[in-house]
Parts: sequence; structure tokens; C-alpha cells
Amino acid sequence: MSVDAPSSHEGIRDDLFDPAFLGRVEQLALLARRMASSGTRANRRSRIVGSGIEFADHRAYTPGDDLRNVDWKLFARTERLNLRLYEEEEDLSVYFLIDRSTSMTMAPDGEKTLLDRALQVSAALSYIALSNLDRVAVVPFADKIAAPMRPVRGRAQFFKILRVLSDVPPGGQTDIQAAFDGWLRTRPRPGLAVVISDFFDAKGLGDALRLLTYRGFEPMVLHLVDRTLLDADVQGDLAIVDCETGETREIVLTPQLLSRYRAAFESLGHEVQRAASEVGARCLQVDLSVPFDDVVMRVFRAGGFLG
Amino acid sequence: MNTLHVQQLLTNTSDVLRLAGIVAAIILLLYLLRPRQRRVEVPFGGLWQRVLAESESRVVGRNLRRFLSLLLMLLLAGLLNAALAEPLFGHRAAAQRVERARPHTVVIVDVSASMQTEDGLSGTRLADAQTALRHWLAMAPAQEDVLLLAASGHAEVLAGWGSDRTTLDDGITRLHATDGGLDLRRAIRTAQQALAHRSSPRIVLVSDAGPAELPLDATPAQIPIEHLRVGPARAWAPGQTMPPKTLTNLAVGELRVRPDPLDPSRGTLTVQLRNDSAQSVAAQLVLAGSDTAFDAATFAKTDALRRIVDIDLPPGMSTQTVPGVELTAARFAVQVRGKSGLHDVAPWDDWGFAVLAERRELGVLVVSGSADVDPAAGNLYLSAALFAHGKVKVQHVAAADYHPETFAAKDRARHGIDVVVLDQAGFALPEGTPGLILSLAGAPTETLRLAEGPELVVRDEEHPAMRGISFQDTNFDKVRLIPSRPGDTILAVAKPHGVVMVARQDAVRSIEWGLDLLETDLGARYALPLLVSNALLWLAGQEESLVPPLLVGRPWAVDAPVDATWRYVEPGQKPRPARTSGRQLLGQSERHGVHVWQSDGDRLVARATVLPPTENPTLLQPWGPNASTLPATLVVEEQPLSLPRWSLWLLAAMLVLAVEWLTYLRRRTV
Repeated sequence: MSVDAPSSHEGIRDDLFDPAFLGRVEQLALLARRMASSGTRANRRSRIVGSGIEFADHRAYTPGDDLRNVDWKLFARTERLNLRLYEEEEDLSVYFLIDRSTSMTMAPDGEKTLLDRALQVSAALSYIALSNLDRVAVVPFADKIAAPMRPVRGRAQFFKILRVLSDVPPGGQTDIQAAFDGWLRTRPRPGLAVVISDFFDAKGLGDALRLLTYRGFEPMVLHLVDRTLLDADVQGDLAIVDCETGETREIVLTPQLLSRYRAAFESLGHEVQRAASEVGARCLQVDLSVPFDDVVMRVFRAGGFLG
Repeated sequence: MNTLHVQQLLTNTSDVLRLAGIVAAIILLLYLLRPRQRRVEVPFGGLWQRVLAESESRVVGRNLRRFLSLLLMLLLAGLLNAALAEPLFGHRAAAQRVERARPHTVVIVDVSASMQTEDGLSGTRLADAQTALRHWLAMAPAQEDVLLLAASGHAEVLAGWGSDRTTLDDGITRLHATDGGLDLRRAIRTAQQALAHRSSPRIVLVSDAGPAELPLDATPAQIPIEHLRVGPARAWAPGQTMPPKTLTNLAVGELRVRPDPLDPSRGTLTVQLRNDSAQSVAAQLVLAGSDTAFDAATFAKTDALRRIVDIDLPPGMSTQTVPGVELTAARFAVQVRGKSGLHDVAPWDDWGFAVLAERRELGVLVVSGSADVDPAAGNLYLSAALFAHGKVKVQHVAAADYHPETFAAKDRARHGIDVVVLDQAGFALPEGTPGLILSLAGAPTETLRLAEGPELVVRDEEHPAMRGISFQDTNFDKVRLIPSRPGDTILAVAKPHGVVMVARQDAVRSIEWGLDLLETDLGARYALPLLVSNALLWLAGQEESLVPPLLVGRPWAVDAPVDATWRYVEPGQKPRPARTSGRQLLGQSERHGVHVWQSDGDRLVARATVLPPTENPTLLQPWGPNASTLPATLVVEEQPLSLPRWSLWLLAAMLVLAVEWLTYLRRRTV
């Protein structure tokens, strides 16, 4: 299937998902397939014992177990009832948890926002995942999940993904933990959770990632940053307004204070990285100035996505 | 702009204040119009909070700092302004000006009446004082703050604190002598208040007062007083020729008018005079009477009752009596003037004024206890004497009908009796009512002592009851000797036996005569009506036929009914509402003359003034050995003008601040 099917473009944002973008996504999918066959692909098998064909283990019979799974040969030898366990191969669910809060919509240069970049990267990675027969769902969040999408499968669903991404409503106050908590209450199927955000959350990221891990998800963190905010040459008396909370604070911005702000910004990146490593998740910090295909390539290189 | 021009920019305090106001207004305007804070939207305020928690204080602190910044700007502007205004505060070197505290001096200039005396180098003593003061100012440090105070009966500020010589010179020019006395205590007290909490305080007194007249006890120890003396004790400057005319002064110390007891339409004027020269002077007394004149000018125009009496005034104090003056006017004035071109250096004290007291009718009760007289008519001698007084209303009552409690003073409105005369009646006086007791009997417990054929002698001629009384050639058959008690005033004695007439002033006044008019020929003599009249007036509290004079320039309190609305008429001034306190009318004036309070019912209360004795100019020994001299040559210290260095630093600081302000504005508008 080609991604540029003209009949499917209705309801899709042209400024983000134009034909050039779709062509580039196709190239990235091919590249991803090649990278997967070269051995960089990681096997993802369910540890759940089910109806697979590959024997995995035995376990003792307990009343209620399906008698069809009893290893009668073993019973004959040992006179003990044991069940044959098979490893079940299943589809990988990939969730793109996209931060749609107000801070992601700021565009100091008047062009692309972090949310735009997040949507583009999510679209590209979705196509690749769909091509890999994985299930894909887009989960926009701010302080809660607005309308959770059921995972879809197959490349034919790519335009549905694009429509969902085009319809992501921007705005809201960031509360990652509360949003994840609300989402997990919908009992999504565990899988790969790609969290894309600027992580401007006063509560931090650690608890939210631990929550995902606890529920069986494999988190992957994509930290988007916009460094143009650090390069402002405005000085003097300022009233800085938090774009999400509206909180105002009066400061006298001096070069020294700006330098300290930059250091604090870098420190926030380190904190995100530390929170990710604590749960064994991969973390990438990507600046807004980096093209989306480069971002996708960096995700591939980091590993863990192509399953 | 060179230094001199900068200093000439601000020449007086108003310029300084104007400049300070403009600078402060500009700064305030800039402060109010300062660019509002630019609002910047940030994605994550928490990150800024984290940064600010380390380096920034709270908003209140920042606002406070901003406000302090404004105050600092204003302070700097003020300091710069003060630096530019420094020429007003002194001519000394800049370093000295910074290091030394500014001296403060109150100059008290005596403008009392004596300063009108024309014995000065420049004319009057006040003119001398003005000249001396200008020289003193020229030599005083230029940065010295001076307050000019004109002192007489009260203190008046002629030039407030400042060092501007033009203002001070204007104040000196406006000095003029009054007719009032000098209240130095008040002036020094005022100066002390003005110098409170000021650095390097000093008082300079320019006066003709002698050292003995200075109220040293009223002088604060911590404030030095310099006495720049003008007048007779100050010697003429070296090289100065003697005054061309012989200096002398004739003065009226006091004028009294006393009506004749037997003919109240006539009276005697008693003038206390003073001749300050060393020899007798031929002079004239000019008498004038009027119901409306109130000062020398208006009395001089009065022809009525005008009399001129030639006198020969001996040196020093003397008293002249002018009898037989018609008392058809209520106010009198007398002027003493020298004859044959005598130069009187102090014409202001040549006048004396007096006001005739308003006499009211007295109610007299005569109680006759003698069996030899008709109780209805009483003693005829006594009745005749009472009749001669003219202003009495007599009631007679027999001793048997007399009840003292009926005539108590508290019921005076009912019985109308002011004085009770007990003629040979041994009763007590009514409570609170004064009385004249004529008795040979004495009190019941008293041991009667009589003197046969005594010679009566007046002991106290000054007592109001005995004024003008003589017992010479009067025959007495017998008199009772009165045992005198402590506090008694012995009026007359019988030689050589003892006291015959006493006056008592306890809770109520009383006079006791130990005689019977039927036992003497006193009743047929001139002394008796006078004696009775004097006694009645003293007993009724009207012994002063002359209204007590008032000291010019001192606060007065004059008894008068205050149930009416009173206006105060001061010589030379328009009538104005009178000040009252309780049952007294208050006043104070700098003018010598007759002061009048006029009620809305056209009742008048008039008081004449008298110059205080300390104001008498003393012309004796004008070239005395202990006099000091004014400096012959007055040198004004000239100092080069220069802008103080610290003001330049301030100017530089202000420029830096202005540049910083402009660049700050520019930064904020990026």
C-alpha cells in the first residue's frame, strides 16, 4: 500500500502531513525494514502461555486446567499430571502518548511547534509500526486523556492515525502522572509506550514512567526541546507568565539570570533522562530544529522500537 | 559655564526651592511614566521559579528596591541642588563648608521707645543700631543663618532664617522704634525657641540697655549672647567730633489728676518730671484736657483746658503740682518742653497722660448712738461733711434700730449701703460691709484710756485716708487711745499718749477714730470733710482718684464688666474687638497715650499709659570711660567663589545615573 492514496486525505492537516512528508515516511519505512532484517530488530514475544506452537515449559496441573494441554506422555512416565506450556506470539501494541499541553504549542519563531514535531514523528513512527504489523494507538494527553483511541493494525489504518493526529486538540495543563493514571484505568493492552513531551511538569516524570512499567508497558521517552526560548535577548524588568497556569512572576532579567535559566533547563533534561533510565526506558532529547526524519532515524538507532 | 556663573544661578532660597521642585517633579514624572513591565509568556514557570528561588528575592523586596531607587534618585537630586545652592550658605572654602556646622544667630534689635533718642552718630539710637548691624552682618560668615527679631514689648520677626544679605538688609531697613517698652525676657525666650535644635546657636543683642538691665537669669547658659550696645554708654568712635548741641532730655515720668474733695469739678495735677541734664532747665508744662484725644498728636490739637505753666526744672527727678485745674474733661495730657532752643534728644518721653476715674455714688448708713444728737439727723458736723462729698447718699438710723445683719454686703443690692458710719455707737459692723467707727467708748472688753486735751499729729500722710489732712491748731477736749493691733495702719497719734486713728484692712476695710466730733472743733474745720471724704473713698475702694496707668508694651488686664460687648481703641488704630478674660479686658500696645475700651452701650473704660522706668534714657556721661568703641574700619572678608568639589562629584553621579536610566529604558524596549 502506498501512503499517498488520494481518497484518504480528507481531515488531515496539510501543513504537517503533506505529500513530501508522506514520501519521506515511506522511505523511512523501507529503511526501517532493512535495519530490522540486519539484526537490529528485537524479538518481542509474549510471556503469556497460550496457544502458540513453540513449547515453552511444563507446569503442574491444577483443577480447572484444560485437559487438552496435559502432557500424557509425561504422565505415563512419571504418573504426574503436567501441562505443556507454549509461548504465544502476539502483535506488539505501540502507543504514542503525545503531550498536547499549551507549552507544546508555543512557537517563538512563529513556525513549527513542539506539538507539530511530536505529531510528525508520531505519524512517521506509526507508519513504520503499522508496516511491521504492530498495533498502533495515538493517545494525546495534557492533564488527562481526552478520548482514548483503540489500537489499529495494518497500513490501511495509517490515514486514520493521521486523522487522529490532525485532530489532536492543543492546550491544557501538563500533568503526566494524572493523565497516564487515567489512561491506564481504561486497561489498554501493554505494549510500547512512546511518550513524546517537553516534560514541563512540576511533578516530574519518574512516577508516571514507573506507573507505565508497573502496568507492563515498555516506555520510550522522546524529550522535545525548543532552545530558541533560551536565546531571548530580552532583559530588564519582565513579568513572566506561565502559559499553562497563568501564574505571573516579576523578574529583572539579567545575563546572569538567563545563564542560570539555561543551566536549569539542561538540568531538567538530565532529570528526564535519569527518570527514564530508572525504569530501563530509552530516552532521546530532540531539539525542535532537528528535522523529523532525523528524529525517526535517531529513534531507530536508539533501538527498542522496531519489534 | 564657569564656576562663578553656576553660583550666580541661584541667588536666593526661592530659586533653590524652585529648582528642587522642578527636578523632583521631573524625576517623579519619569518614575510614574516608566515603561510598564513587559509580559513574556514562558512554557514552564516552574523552571523560572527554581532559578529565582536561588537568586531573586520576593516581589515585595523588588518593589521596595524600586521605590528605594526612586528615593535615592530624589536624594541625589536634592544633594545636587544643595550643591548648586551652596553660594547661599557661605563664602568660605569648600572644605570648611563641608566640615563645619552652619552657625545660627538670632539678632535681637531693641526697637523700644528709648531707641528713638537722638543721641546717636547717625541720629537716633535706632539709626546707630541699623548701621552697627549692617557692619556686623558684613563681617559675619557668609554661610551664617540669621534671624532678625525686632524686640519691644513683644518680639516680631523681620527676616526669617536665612543668609541672604539682601533679605536681611531689607529687614534692617524696616526696623522702626515704637513707643513701647522693652521686654528683653520675652525677646530672649523667643530667640531661644528659634535656636532650639540648631547648630552653633548665638544671640546678638543690639540695644541701648545697660548691663544691669539684661535679664541674665533668663539667658540660657548654652547660648552665648553678644551685646552690641548703642546709646549713651557707647563712646563715640575715635576721631568722631562731639555732638554740636548740648544733649539733654526732659521727660514726664507720670501724670496724676486728683479731684478736689470739696469741689470735684476742679482738681490738682501732679506731674513727675525728670531732667537728665546736669543743670536746671527753664521749661514749660503744657496741659491739655479732652474727652476724645488719645495721644500726643491729638492732644496737641486740643485747645480746650489748655494751660501753659512756666517752671524751672532742677536736675534729676522733681514733682510739679498744678492746682485748680478744671476737670471738665475725662482725659488729660501734659507735655514738658524746654525753653530757649533746648535740644531734647528724646521727644518721645515728653508726654504724660492721665484718665480721670469715673466716680459713682456711695450709699452711706450713719448710725448715731449719742444721746446728744437727733437720731433722725445725726451729728450735724458729720452730716455736713458727708454732704460736702457730693457723691454720697446718706441714710440715718438710730442705734436702737440698727441691726448689723440687715446691712450685710451680700444683700447690698437690696439695701444699697456701701459704708456704715458708727457714730458713738458700740455695735459690730455688718458682715462684709466696710465701716467708719467714731467712738470714745471703745469695745466692751477694752480698757478705756482717754487723753485729755491732746495734740493730734498725722502719722501716715501717704495713706489715702489722710491725704491733704492737717490737725494743726485743732482743739480736742479728749480722745480715746486705741490699742493698736498687728496689721493696723496708724493714721494719727495723740502726742504723747498713743494711737487715735487706725485703718484696718482685714477681710473688710475699717477705720476707727477715737474721738467724738462733739468734743472737738474739728467739725468746723476744712479737714473734716476732707477726712470723711478720704475715709469713705478708701473704705469703698475708690481711694485712687487717678486711674492706674499702664506700662506701654506690657500685657494689661483691666477690670470691667464683661456682660457687654467691648471694642478696643488703641491710639492711632482702628477699633477692634476687645479681648476678654473673665471679668477683665485685655490689651497690649506699643503706643504711648490713652487706651479706651468701648462697650456697645457706649460705656467707656479708659487707661492712660506710662513709660516703664527702664526706658528712661540716661544721658549722663555719654563719653564714659567704660564704654567700648565700634571698630573704626570695617573690613568685609572677600573670598573667591568656587563651586564645591563634592557638588561636581554629585553632578557626575547624576549624569551616570541618567545614562544608566536611558540605557535601561533602551534595554527594556528590545
